[in-house]
Amino acid sequence: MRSPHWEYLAYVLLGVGTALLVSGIATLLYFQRHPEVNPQYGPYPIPLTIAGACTVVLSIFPFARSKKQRIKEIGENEACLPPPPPENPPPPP
Amino acid sequence: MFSKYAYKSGEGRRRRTISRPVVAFFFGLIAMTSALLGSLNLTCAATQDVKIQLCMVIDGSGSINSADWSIIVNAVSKGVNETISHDGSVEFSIVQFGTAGSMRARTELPPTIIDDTTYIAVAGRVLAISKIGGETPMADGLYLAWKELRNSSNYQNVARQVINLATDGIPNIHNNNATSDLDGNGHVDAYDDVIAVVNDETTQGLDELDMEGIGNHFSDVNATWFRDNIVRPKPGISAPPFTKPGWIRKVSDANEFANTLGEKFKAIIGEGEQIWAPSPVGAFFASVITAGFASIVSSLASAVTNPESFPSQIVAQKISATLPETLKKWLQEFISAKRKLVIGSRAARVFTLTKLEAISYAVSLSFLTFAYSYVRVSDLSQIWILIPTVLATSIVVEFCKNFLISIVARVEGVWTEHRLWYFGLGTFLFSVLVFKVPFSSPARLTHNAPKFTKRSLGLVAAAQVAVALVLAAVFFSVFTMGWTVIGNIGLVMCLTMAFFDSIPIPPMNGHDVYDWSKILWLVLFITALTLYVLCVFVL
Repeated sequence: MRSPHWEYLAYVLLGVGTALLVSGIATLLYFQRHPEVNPQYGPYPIPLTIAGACTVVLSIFPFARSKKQRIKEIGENEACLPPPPPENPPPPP
Repeated sequence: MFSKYAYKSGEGRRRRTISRPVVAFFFGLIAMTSALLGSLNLTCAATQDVKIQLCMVIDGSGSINSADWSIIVNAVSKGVNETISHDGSVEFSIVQFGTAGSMRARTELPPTIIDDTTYIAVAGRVLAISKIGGETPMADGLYLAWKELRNSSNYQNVARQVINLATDGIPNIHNNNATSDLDGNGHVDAYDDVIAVVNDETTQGLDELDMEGIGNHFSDVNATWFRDNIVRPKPGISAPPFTKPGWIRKVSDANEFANTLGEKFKAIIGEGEQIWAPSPVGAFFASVITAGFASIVSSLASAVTNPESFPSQIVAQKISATLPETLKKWLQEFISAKRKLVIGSRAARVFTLTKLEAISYAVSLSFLTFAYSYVRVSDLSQIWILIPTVLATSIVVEFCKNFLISIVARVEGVWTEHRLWYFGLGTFLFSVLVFKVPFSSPARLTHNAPKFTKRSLGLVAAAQVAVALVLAAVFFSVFTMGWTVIGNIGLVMCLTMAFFDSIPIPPMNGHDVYDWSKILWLVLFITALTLYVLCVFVL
C-alpha cells in the first residue's frame, strides 16, 4: 500500500472513531440523566465509547505509516530522476 | 474511458484507489464491534416496563346528570377492558373533581398498572365510582392528578406522564394558586388557577395534557381558551385528527364521549409507539453491508479501470483478466456515470425539470415513501394512513433538497440533474426488506463533466450532506413542537441521507468531499455519523 492508501485508512478510522466516541459519551450522559428513555439500550454507550476511543488510537498507526511511506516514496522518486546536469564550467579568464 | 480518477489526479500523478486490504481491515473492525453490540443486544432482553402514566381527570360536578355519569363511567370501564393494553405498559389512575363539604377532588383509582391480573378489578372499580356533584374546582382536580402521578412508584422510570381532562364546564372555584392574571382577561380568577397549576406541572415534568369538552354548553370560546392555555405541549390543536399531543376535542354529549373514548385512548397511548428509529443492530448491519458492497464494487472498478494503481499489480491484473467484458464495462460505468450526464435539447432552462428528471423524482419519491411507511408500521394495513405524511416529508427532503442544489449548480454553470441510481436503489430495497432500515439512496445528482473541477464537485457533494443536516435540524424542531410523525420521519430520513452521503467510497458524495478537502469531509462525516447514532439510540 502506498501513502494515500494509508492516509485514507487513517482518516476513515479517525472519522469513525471520533463519531463513535462522541456519540458514546453523549448517549452515556443522556441515559444517566434520563434512565427512563429506551432502557433496553442502557448497556450500549460504554462499549460504544470504548470502541470509539480504540479506533481513534488505532488511526495513529496508519497516519504514522502514511508519513513514513510518503518520505520513502519521495526518496524513490528522487532516485529515479536523471542525474542533474553538470555545472557550467567556469568562465574563461 | 476517461475515468473520474484520471480526470482528478492529472496525467502525471499517481491515481488513487481504495485497496482491498483497507476495505477488509475497516470492515473487520466494524464486524468486531458488531459482534460486541450484537451480544449486548441478546443479553439485555427487553422487559416490559411501564411506558406511560395516564391519569383521567373527570368532571363530577352537578352539571353532569346521573344518566350521563353512568354513561361516562361505563365507557371508561369498557376502555379499560378493551382498549388499554393489558401488557403492563400503562399505569392508569382516575381523579374526580366536584364539591361536597370541604372536599374538592378525590382519587377514585390510585395509579395501577393495567395487566392481565388487574384490568378486570380496575374496570369493576371504575363502574362503582359515584358522582361528587357541586361546583367545578378544576384546578384542584388537576393538582391532585399530578400529585398522584408524581408520587407513583413508577414515576422515575416512565417516559411519559399524561393527564386527560374531561369536563362539561368551566372552572368556577378559586383555589388561590394563581397570583396574577395569567390569561390576560383583566382579573385573577379560577381560570388563572387552572393555568397556574398546569404551568407548575409542566415545569415539574408533565409531558402531555389533552382534554374533552362535553356537551353543547361547552362553547367554542371555552374550547379556544382551553386550547390556548391549558393543553400541553403547546401549541394546542383541535382534534380530530390527533396529529400531535396537546389536543382538545369537543363531543356533543356523554354518548359521543363514550363512543369516541377508544379512539382517544389509542391517540394518547399510541403516541409513544409512533416515534420510530431504526433498531441499532439493523442500522449497523444495513450500513455495513451497503458500504461494504459498495467498497467491493468500487475496488473491483478501480482494479479494472486503473490496474497499474492497484496496491498489488498481480492481483489487479488477475481480476481484470478474470472478469468478463460486460462486467468490466458496468464497473467502469459504476465509477464514471455520475459525471457522464448527456444534456438533452430540452434542458436549456435552469428552473425546468427534464422529462427524465421528472421520472427520476417520481420513482425515487415513490420508493422513499413506500420504504419509510413500510418500516414504520407493524401491520401492512396501516400503511395507507401513513403514506400522505411520509410522501410530504419525502418531497421536502428528496425533491426540495436536490432541486435546490441542482439550481445552484446550474446557475454556477454546471448542468446537474436528478437521476435514478440503480445500484443505490438495489441496496436501498435490500436494506428496507431485510433489516427494515432504509439505507442508501435510490437516486442521485449527476453532473455534466467538462465544467466540473475537483473543487466544484466537492462543493456540490458537501452541500448535499450539509443541506441534509440543516433539514434534520428543522425536522427536529418540528418534532419537539409536537408534530411527532412528520418530525420523526423527516429527522430519520435526513440523518440517514447525510450519513450515507458522507461515506467516502467512490462514487458516493463523501469521496468527492474527501478528494477536495479531507478536513471538511472529516467534520461532515463525524457530524453525520454521530447524529445518526444518537438518533438510533435516543429517539
